[in-house]
Amino acid sequence: MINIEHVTKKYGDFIAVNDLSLTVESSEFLVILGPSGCGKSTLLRLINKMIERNDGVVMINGENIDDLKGVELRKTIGYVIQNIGLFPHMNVHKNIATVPRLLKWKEDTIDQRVADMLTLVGLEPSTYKDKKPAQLSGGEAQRIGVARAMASDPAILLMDEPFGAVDPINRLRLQKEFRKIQRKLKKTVVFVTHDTDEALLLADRICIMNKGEIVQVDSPENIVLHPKNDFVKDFFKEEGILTILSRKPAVDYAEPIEVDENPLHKDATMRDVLLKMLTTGQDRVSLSNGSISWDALLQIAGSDVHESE
Amino acid sequence: MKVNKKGLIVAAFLTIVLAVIVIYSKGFEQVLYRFFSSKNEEGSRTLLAVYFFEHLWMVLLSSLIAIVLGTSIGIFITTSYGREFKELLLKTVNLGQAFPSPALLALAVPILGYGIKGALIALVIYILMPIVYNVVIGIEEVPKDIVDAAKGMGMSEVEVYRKVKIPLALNVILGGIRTALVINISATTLAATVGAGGLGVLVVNGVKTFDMVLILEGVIPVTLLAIIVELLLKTLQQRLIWNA
Ligand SMILES: Nc1ncnc2c1ncn2[C@@H]1O[C@H](COP(=O)(O)OP(=O)(O)O)[C@@H](O)[C@H]1O
Ligand SMILES: [Mg+2]
Repeated sequence: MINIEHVTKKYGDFIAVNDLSLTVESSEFLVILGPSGCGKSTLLRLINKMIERNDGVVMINGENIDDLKGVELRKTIGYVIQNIGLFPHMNVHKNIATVPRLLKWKEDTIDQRVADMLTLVGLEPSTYKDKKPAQLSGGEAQRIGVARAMASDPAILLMDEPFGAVDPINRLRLQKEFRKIQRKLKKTVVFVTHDTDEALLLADRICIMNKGEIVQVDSPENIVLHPKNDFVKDFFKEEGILTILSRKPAVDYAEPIEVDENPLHKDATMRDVLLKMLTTGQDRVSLSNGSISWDALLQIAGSDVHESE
Repeated sequence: MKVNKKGLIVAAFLTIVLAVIVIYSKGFEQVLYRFFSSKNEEGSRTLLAVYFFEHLWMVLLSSLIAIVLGTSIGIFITTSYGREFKELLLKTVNLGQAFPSPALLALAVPILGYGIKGALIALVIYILMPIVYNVVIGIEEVPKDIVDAAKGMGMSEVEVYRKVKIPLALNVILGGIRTALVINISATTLAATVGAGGLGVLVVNGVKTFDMVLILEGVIPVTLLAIIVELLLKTLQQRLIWNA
């Protein structure tokens, strides 16, 4: 658990983070979202003491980070920087082994760990371990960056726009895979992005920032359906709702009504249901465990639609 | 990674030529006499090998000192501890290069006396700048993201230097050392003017007596040595740097 209490960071007279308080629960995937320059990276770097704050307290699992040496603290927290920053003179194996080496793990433990990490991020160890960063595609480099940050199995991961430099198709795949990994390993993740779709897809909770302050912290659904103010509303535009639907497995909302039709595949999301309705004109779509109606979809997409009618 | 094989072969060839000249210096003189008239058909009285090894020794010693000192200064002023001295030290080092080397040597005599000590110190000061500058540039050119990542994973400042900054700056650092050594080999010729010996003795005497043979006897080995060192260091540089 990370407790950020009344933290302020100034650069000269400029206040980059202003009296900000935020709690990140254990195993939570918290996304910090906001326009460029609003202080997201600064906030992240205050957590692992990459920069010193001017005021306030940061606690990690009940321990004040001021009681820890920056170097020691950072060895226990995974960190993926904005442009990954793989070491160009080291091969993939050495890059991933960085923190385990700093922690003086045994060489054969490290070898095993590197192989496990590569497998975890979907890369074949024997193919990749000897490659140099320059030989990797953007997506592969991002994967290695994530693997490197997780190599010593830190409970907390700080990620600063880790999937920023990949093409949209690969980015979506990376996002989905990483979400799965986070769920499986129950990591506490603080993830910075300025991409609303990415935030909606990944987050347990989204923390919206503007000008060094928090505007709203809430679940993706609540943020989209109940934006606190125009800033949040404008930030998501209308399409946010589609991403919300794409997070919801359709089978979770099935009504026990059988329809004589080929059901959607069992991994289909509510977004797929909507698409099917839009393209076929049906008002009920068959699922592997029942079906779902247009009205039900509306209700899921925004419970207040019905209430206000 | 392909190492510059051609460079190595040329270096090996030139080394053999140089060795032959140094070992069979009397024969070398005879060859020179065929092309240039000389008042003094006996050549130099001291063996060429003596001057050559004096020269080499001065180059090696002053280079070693300058490399150790220059690299240390360069690294120090890029660290968080030494940053505040950066301007001052760079300016000082610059001053050493700004003096023409004969002037630097002339200054060394009244302070340090006649002989090898003054020459060595003057040489060290003279070649310090390219070494320090390249260390600073090499280290400061390491991309910020990479340094950030290293720090972010819990490397101490020393570890960041050892594992990331210096390996990545090595190419530029070695480039500076190469320049310094080549400058050093020719600048050491001037050491003769303060009585420190070396191949410069032949050149200086040759100039005094208008003896072309003596001048060439000094200049040819110096030039060969400079080319050989340049080629060898270039190859070493290619070997040592990280490659993509
Ligand atoms: N080292 C620094 N010195 C001065 N200003 C800085 C520094 N780092 C960041 N800033 C400023 O602080 C603000 C927040 O930066 P940052 O946290 O990087 O924003 P974000 O990650 O949200 O894009 C920006 O206006 C930026 O210009
Ligand atoms: Mg940023």
